[in-house]
Amino acid sequence: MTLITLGAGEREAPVKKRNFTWTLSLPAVVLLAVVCVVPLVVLFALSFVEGGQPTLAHYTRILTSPAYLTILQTTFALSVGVMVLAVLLGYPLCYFIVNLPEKWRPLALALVSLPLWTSILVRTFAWQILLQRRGVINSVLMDLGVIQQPLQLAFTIWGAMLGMLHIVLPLFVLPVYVAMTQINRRLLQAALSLGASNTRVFWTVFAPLTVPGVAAGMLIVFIYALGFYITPEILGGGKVITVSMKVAENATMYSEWGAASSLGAVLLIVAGLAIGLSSKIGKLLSSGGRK
Amino acid sequence: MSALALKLHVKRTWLYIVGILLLLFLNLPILVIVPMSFSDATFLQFPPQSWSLRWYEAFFGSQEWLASAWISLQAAIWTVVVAVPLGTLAAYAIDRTENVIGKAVRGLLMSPSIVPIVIVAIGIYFLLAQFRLNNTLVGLVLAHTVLAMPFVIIAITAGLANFDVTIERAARSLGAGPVRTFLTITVPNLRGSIATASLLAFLTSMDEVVVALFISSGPQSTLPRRMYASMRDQVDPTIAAISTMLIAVVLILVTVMSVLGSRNKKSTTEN
Amino acid sequence: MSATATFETAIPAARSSALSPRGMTVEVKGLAKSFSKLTVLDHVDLSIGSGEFVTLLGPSGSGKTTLLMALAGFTDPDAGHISLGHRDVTHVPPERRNIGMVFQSYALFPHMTVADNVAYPLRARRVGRAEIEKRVKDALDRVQMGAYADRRPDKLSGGQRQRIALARALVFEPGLLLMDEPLSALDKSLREQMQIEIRALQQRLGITTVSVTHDQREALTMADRIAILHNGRIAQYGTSRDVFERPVNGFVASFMGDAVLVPVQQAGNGLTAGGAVLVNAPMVSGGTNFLVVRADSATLATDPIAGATNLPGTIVTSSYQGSETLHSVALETGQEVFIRERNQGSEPSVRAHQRVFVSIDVSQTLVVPE
Repeated sequence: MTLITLGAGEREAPVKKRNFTWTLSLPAVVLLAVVCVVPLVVLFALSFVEGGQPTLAHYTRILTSPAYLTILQTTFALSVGVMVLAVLLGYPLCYFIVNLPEKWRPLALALVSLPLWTSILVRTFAWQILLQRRGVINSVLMDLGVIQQPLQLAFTIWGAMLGMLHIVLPLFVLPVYVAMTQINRRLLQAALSLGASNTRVFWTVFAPLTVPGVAAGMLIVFIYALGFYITPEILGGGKVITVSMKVAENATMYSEWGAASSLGAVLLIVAGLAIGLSSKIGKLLSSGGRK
Repeated sequence: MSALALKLHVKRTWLYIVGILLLLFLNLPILVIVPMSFSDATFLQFPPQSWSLRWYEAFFGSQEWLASAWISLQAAIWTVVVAVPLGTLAAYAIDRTENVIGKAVRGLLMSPSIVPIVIVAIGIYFLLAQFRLNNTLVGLVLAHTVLAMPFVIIAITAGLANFDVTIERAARSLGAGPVRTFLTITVPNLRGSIATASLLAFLTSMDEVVVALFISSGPQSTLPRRMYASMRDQVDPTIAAISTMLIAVVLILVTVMSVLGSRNKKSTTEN
Repeated sequence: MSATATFETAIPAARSSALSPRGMTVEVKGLAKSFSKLTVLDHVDLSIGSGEFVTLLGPSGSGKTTLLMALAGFTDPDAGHISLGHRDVTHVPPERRNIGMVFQSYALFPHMTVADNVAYPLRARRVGRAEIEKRVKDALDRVQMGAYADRRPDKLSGGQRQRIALARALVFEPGLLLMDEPLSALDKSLREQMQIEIRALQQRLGITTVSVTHDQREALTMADRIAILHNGRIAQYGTSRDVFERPVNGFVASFMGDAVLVPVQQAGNGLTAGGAVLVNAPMVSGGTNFLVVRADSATLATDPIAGATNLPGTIVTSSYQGSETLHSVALETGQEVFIRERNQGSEPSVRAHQRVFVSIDVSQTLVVPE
């Protein structure tokens, strides 16, 4: 047996041999298993059934029917679009907060978190007000003389995207901010001391180090956006149909469990692929420079 | 401020402008609702030309709105009552179990936050349909507890990270068994996290709309459910009033929590 | 400052005769513990008598804390047995072992007052309220903290918290007191005072005590016997004198006080070390042996002292330390030894690069195996 000297401050065993602490989690586990997992497993099984017969019909319909394909496209496009916008707007915002004097940061973070604490309905409603023909944006723009006729903002995919962006932005900013704060200041100072300009330091040292955090933020936003339901439905006014909306429709209006669950499964698969892809890429990139 | 720091701030002007604009983008839309709720007009008009409290009166005078608010309140309270103890025990178990079981449990309990909400919703809808629990408070509470669980776990886990395990050992060495130790030592020292977890669970339930769409309707509607129905049909300014009240509630709760939180920090021991 | 007086006078004379030694004996046999391929305890045997104060001494990683935690019941041994008071407690949980423990960080409950902290073990044992009040008061008085009953731990200094932790661990009269580096967080003068106070209290109560430390001075001051741990085994177990004056090997010798080990060679009929003939060296058996050169037991001389072992060397540096000067001397072996000399007169006795002899008197000559 190897005799090795432990570092200063010996550690003792964290857990006794027969540790039953994990059983404390059983009530919660049972609840989640029964309410969440079991029904989904059953529904997944049902996705392979139509009219009492095992079949792949649901899945083939999804992949071939033009209606479904449009829905998948829309959802995917919206999710990617929102994700890209979140990065473009969220990154500067994070950088801004990180460079604020210490005493202003809690306020800035609170201003980012406040929308998160607000109900998604309230936020969606806010955009409804803003985007309507006689809504705030149009009123202001017309008052300022910028436009003569009110713009059609509501009930379009752009209105929906705007609302979705608003909801998703804090979800991106918070983890990326945390990642930025964990970058070792000394590295930046070292680069500056070696003669690099601020801009160069930003692009060659800081930005690359934020990549893992940004990737994580993008993943969070993308997966959240895949599942968007309320906001695109209300702001899109029937012109925007996402996968979630179709799933709901199939389940509630038609009680088509097979159709609903197969769509749901596709959604989960896409989300799973995104997670897998993201972690593969993450492993390829090195992550040095952490404190 | 030193010359170097001043130079830095000047260079950063553009960043400050962008940052402030973005913060405004995040918050102004929500704030726009507030003046709208005091508008006298039945249609959207910005800025409001005349002011009144009619939409607040509409809310408080309506049986249906009040009933849905009451249902939401009950569901939220029960969600806290169920989710926080279960979640606290589970978070504790996860924290003290450093093996595969712990990780699996954590994954399971966090799953509602990763799985698209609609999928969780149809699962719950399907389950409740089998037991005729749709449109019941019980069904709502079960669903909301599941949705709130990830938040409770996160809050309690954060509290446990700052927790000095030695006091639990001290209690054991003094003759207290595991249960007594947990109740008299662990839980009191997690007060702050438990409060945060309760707030999160409460808000999660109060604001929850997607699952409610499936499992609560008609007289059993929750407040968000009724709001949603109203939003789909036409823009009802009553929603502005309700939204303003909801925003106010959130602001008050969050302010109270952070005041309590910073007072707590001053009096907590660093052993 | 008469530190012993502080504790002694707090206890009325009439009671002192009523307290008799009631410490449990401790028997450890073949205790072994590994953490994922690291052996931390390698079949340790230890025997402690009732009322004894034993210190577990050793460097970081020697296994001393693990051994203490095993005695407490917080670490499950992989093999071996632990008996407290002739009762096998190897698989008994901590709350049923009747032990009192003082942690390095004191672990006072932050959400309770001092009085509630001390009352905690009594409440856990369902002692009556009136009885609790009385015993808490007595326990606090015993450590001179009676006035602090309603304070919160975060308002106390380190030394005060230490006393409360001690009071709490003793209020329910356990058979064994365990202490995990209880003085390491205190500053030097407070530490020395507490060493004496704790020792006095322990002797008065007659409670068996096991204390872990890495500070050999603390061990020498407080313990009846010292167990020196090295790589998971007990290198030596004996009284302070035994361990200091008769170390069984090089590790113990160098751990117990500023020593350098100079290899010993056979030369004809005698032994040499560092270029000097060993005078009256005890006969040692096979294997490598070392001459122990201690800072305080060797002297510097310009000429060899008759009848002593004189190692030739050169002064490297001398640093003034007030009442003493610490010299570092380079020996012929290339090793650097440290010699502490009391300062007499205002002139330094030696200069840098001066050739000197490190002279060890016969009575101080110590040779140990590896």
